[in-house]
Amino acid sequence: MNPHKFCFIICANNDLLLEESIHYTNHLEVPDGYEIDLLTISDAASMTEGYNEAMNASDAKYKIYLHQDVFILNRNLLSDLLAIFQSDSQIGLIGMIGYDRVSPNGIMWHGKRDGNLYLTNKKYVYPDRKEYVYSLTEDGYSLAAEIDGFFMATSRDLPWNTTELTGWDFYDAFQSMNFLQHGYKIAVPLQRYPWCMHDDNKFPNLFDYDHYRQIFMQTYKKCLGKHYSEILTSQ
Amino acid sequence: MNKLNAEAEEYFEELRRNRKATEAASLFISNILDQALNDDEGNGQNIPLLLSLITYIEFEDGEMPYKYIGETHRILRILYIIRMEQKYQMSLFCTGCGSGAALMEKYMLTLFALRRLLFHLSDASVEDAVFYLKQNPVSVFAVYMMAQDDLIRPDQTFYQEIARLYSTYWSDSEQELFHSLIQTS
Repeated sequence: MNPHKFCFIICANNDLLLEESIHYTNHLEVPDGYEIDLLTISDAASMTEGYNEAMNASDAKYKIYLHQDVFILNRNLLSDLLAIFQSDSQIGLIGMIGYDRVSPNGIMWHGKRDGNLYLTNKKYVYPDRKEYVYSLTEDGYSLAAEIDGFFMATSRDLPWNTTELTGWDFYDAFQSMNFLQHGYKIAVPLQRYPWCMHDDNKFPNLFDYDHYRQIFMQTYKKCLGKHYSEILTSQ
Repeated sequence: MNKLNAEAEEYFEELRRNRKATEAASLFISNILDQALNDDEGNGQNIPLLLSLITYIEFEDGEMPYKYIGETHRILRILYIIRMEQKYQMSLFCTGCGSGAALMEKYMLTLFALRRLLFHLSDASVEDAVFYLKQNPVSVFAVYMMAQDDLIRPDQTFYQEIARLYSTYWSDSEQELFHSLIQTS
C-alpha cells in the first residue's frame, strides 16, 4: 500500500460527464510528496462490483469513490482530506454530506444533514475558488453514521458488499455501516462553501431504491434509528 | 417520522405502480425527439412535433417521467429554449442535432463551458470554454435559462462576460433583450 497516493475511482456510463468530472480533478492541488491516480470502470455489473475491482487494483492508501456527475470545486481537497485523516487514525471514511443517525426508515436524507451541498435553489452564488479555505482547528468536522455516496474518501480498504447489492443503490449506507462496525469513524468536514457540485439532474432515479432499502433495513435492523456513537461502541 | 414513513411508503408504492407507464412515456419522449430532429419527410427537423412534447410532458403521460426521471427536466428546459427561440425568430438550439442524444450532448457541453467560465479552474480551462462557446454559439434564451436553472448561480460578472463573448454573434436587439432579462434576475 502506498501511503502517499490518492486514487480517484469512478464508475461511469456517460463519457461526457466522466470527462468533465476528470477535468475538475485534474485541477486539484496535489500535496507535496503525494501522487494521484484515476481508475474508471465503465462496464461494472453493479456499483459495489466496480468499486471492489478498482479498490483491489489500486495500491493507493487513500481512495476517493466519486460519482461521474461530481465536480470538485475545492482545489485544496486532497490536503484537507489528509488533515482530517491524519488528525485521528480511527477515521476511515470521509463524506461531503452525512447524517449522525441511521434513519429509522432507511432513507438517509430523512435525517438531520451535516456537510454542505449546492442545491438548485439560488441561496448564494459560487465563491471565488481562492475562498475555499479549510482549517481543521477552526472548521473541524462532524462525525456521521452514514454518508452520501456521491463522494466517499477512504483511508482503509474494506470490501464493498457485492452479495446483497447487485444494483446502483444503497452501497453508501451499507459501506458506512461496514466502516462503523469495523470500528472506524466517519467524518464530514464543515464546508463554508460546498467542496463539490453534484449535478444529479435535480434528483436521482429511485426505481430500485426501495428494493435495496428493504434489504438494508433487514440487514441492519439493530442499527436503525441509532446514533453513530451507539454503533461504534457496540462493536 | 411516522408521517415521513407513511409518505415514503406511499411514494415507493406509487413508483412501483407507475414504473412501466413512466418508462413507456420516457421511451415515447426519446422516440419523438429522434423523429422530430431527423425528419426525412420535412426539411430535416420537425419543430412542431418537437415542441408538442412540451404539452406531453406538462399535461399528458409525460408528467410521470417529469416526476420520476431527472433528465426529463433538462429535456423540457431545452424545449422551452427552442420555443422561445422560435418565437423570436432566432437560430434554434437544436440546429445541427440529428437525434435526442446529440441534442442532449450539445446542451451538456454548453453547460460545462458556461460552468468553466464561472469557476475559472485555470486559464486553459477558460480558453477551452470560450473557444467552445464561440464555435457553437447559442441564443440569449439558452444562456439565460441554463444559467437560471442548471446549477450555475450566475452573478452579473458572469453575465457580462457572456455578453462580451457573444457581442458579435448576438444582434443589438438580442443584446438588449439579454440585458433586460438579467436585470430582472
